[in-house]
Amino acid sequence: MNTRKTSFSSLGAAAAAALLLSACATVSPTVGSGNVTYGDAKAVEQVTNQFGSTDLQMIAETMARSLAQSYAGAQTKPLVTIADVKNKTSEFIDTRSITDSIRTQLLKSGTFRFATDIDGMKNQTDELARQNQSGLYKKQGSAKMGKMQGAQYRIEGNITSIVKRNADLTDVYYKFSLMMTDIESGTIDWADEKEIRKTTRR
Amino acid sequence: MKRPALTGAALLLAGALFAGSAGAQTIASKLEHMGESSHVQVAGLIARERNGFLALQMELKNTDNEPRRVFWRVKWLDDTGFQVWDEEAWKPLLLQGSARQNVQIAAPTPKARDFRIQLNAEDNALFPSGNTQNP
Repeated sequence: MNTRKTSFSSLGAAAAAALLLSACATVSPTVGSGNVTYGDAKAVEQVTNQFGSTDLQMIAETMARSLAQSYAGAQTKPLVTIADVKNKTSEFIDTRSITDSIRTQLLKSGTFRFATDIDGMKNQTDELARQNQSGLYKKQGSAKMGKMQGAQYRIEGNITSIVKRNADLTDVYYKFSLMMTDIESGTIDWADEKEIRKTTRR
Repeated sequence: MKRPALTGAALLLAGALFAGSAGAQTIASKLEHMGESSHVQVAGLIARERNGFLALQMELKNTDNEPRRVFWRVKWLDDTGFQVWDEEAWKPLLLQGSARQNVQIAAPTPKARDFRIQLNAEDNALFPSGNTQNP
């Protein structure tokens, strides 16, 4: 593939002059009184010591990259499915959101393929049945029954926490464990952990 | 493969990852400091390739006796300087007093051939401690 790189080093004189002229008339493209502000979704969230966006982002990033590096040399992309991540902490955590982020990052890295998981199976089979059994679709071009691929590996895990309190502080320790099991042999072929400690002083 | 034994301001590059790039690459050329850190320094940086993915090891050094916090993230670039991955989340890190700590970083995609580490110390000159402008 031929690529050509063009570098743009600075504003041209005409563009700079136009910017200066229009600067005094600038109006922000917003609607509303200004009580609502957009923040940085990637910023470190320290509002409380409960599980938060930074924890989710760090866990997903660590797990996806560990998995991607471990299987990057494989001849064919492993076909995997995601099972549950069990929440064994005392708080509500949407673990599906964590596994969704891991799946997204692995797909973007180009190292894994994903088979329909249990949560998506009803939609998948409904669509297959609609195309094959409703009598509404041309045979040619319709998705065929019996062609779905079963996953070679299953990804599952746990998130646990230990919470300690005294008069001065609250300490929360999270441990997120993820493992990948070869479905045919039942062997665990990969596992990793991410630990997070958060402390709040009263 | 023998790793070049460079120290100080030189970046250790294993293999031919950056072959073709002109001139020596220094640690400073791979860092984007958000303000001057008073106590935390990047003491070493190693880059190498593992299974086609770029892997980094950054050594952070706390020159103070008190624990210090830093925030960091990486911009992943291809060999023409284009960013090849979304903005990463900022990661907090606690460095114990007078400690040196290695941070292992894996690239998210094999397209990443270059990087810039963004670093912000909680106590640095630009964002003094307690200032809400830390990431």
